[in-house]
Amino acid sequence: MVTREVAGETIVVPVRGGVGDLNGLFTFNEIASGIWQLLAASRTADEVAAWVRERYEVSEEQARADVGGFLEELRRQGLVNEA
Amino acid sequence: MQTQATYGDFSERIHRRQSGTRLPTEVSIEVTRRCPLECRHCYNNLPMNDAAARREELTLEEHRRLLDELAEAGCLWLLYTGGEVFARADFLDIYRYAKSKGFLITIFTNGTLITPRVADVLAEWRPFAIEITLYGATRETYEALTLIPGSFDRCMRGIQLLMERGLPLKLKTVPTTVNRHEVFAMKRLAEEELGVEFKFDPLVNPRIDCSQSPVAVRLSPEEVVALDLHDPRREEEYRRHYEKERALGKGMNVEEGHVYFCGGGVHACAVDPAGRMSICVLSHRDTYDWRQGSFREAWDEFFPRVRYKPRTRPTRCDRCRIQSLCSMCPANGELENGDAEKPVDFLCRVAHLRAMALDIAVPEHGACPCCAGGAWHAELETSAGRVRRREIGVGDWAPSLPLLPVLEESAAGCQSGGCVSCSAHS
Repeated sequence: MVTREVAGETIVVPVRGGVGDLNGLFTFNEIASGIWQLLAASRTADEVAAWVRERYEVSEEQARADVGGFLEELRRQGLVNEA
Repeated sequence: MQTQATYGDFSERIHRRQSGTRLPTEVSIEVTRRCPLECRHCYNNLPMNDAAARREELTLEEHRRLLDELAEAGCLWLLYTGGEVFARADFLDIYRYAKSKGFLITIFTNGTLITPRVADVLAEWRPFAIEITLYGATRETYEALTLIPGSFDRCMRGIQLLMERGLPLKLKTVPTTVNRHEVFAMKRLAEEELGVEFKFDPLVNPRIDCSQSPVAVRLSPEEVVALDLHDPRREEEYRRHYEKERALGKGMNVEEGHVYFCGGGVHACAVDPAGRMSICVLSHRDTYDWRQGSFREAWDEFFPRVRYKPRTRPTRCDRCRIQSLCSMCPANGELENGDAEKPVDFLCRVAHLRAMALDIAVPEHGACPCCAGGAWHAELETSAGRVRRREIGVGDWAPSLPLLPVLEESAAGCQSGGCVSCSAHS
């Protein structure tokens, strides 16, 4: 997987293994881009939730739920593994 | 938190974000001009054994450095074209490096050098798209244009190898006097037998080395428009383009005060085999030598100078309202007339005939030889009548493999600026 910043968008392009076509292209909105960059810097789920809580002024419970859901989606798409 | 979008949504969003900014998101790279085919209509091919051409090509290391710079600058869509890209033994090394940088890569090829090994690499490192140009639906016609015995079978094998691996293949052709009778057979082969997209573009330009030889196999305006009307989808597309231009209330290909009006230098550019950068693959009058500088310098300093070059004079295109039906652009002007601003007579004829055949009234736009009162008008009216009445029987076109003379170069030379063989530049 390669992360690219293009025209202000973060996209993840799988480069190998038969998924380099359109269906393998992942794009992130602003908050997802921020989370992706934190994950690329090896931050934990708790640290990511704290970042979301602070930046978007949501409750801890809400931030954990949102981040958990997003991480589950990333796992499902094969974009992250448990370290 | 979005993790996946349809490609159309994504592409539209990126292009919307680009609007009003200059970002080099699309770059075309000619890796070589060498090619195993000798197509009579080609504007830039050189022999496989052209040592001088080979010597000046960017090395693998230079390609890698160029790709690093393009990724850094925000390029996403990359087109590899030629010549024939697979004529370079190290093309797959260049390609794999580009893939590893996360570009969405399209490859233009004639397919004749695709082996099982090449197809396997492409299957592992999937391109965004592969477009193969077909030159005929039969061996006889294909090779009458490519002039290389055995090339038809090699192309068909290449197509089969890509199809077997489920690669994103599209087919296309350039209709010429040599293969015009097989355009719709090629379309059937692509769409019905292979199940892949097919398109054609009859625009044939003089060569970038100023030879007029491709023009000898160019279709007449009447034949070009007859092809348009033989394909309902194509006819519909032209009508849609025209309606857009009409709604706009002005010509869609004119930019106030500037020679260029396209995306070249705004969100796209081209790199030739030796690393010279230009607005597009056809335009060679203004180039930047990347080997002596950097992509950043080219994008920030050279391209704005070229892209926003002021026009020097008015032309009959200025007030023309059928620009949506016309292929005229500064690069075509350069190739055809040695002058980016001079309208190409052939394209004017095609556009006006297209309008007449589609029953589109062309508003008065100054002294135009195609419009009422102009020198070519009566002839175009007669042609339009024949096309409308379907008297140009595209389906009945028979094989015709004429040996046409190579046209003389103009006394002034091509003045293309990209020409390396014309005495006008020496």
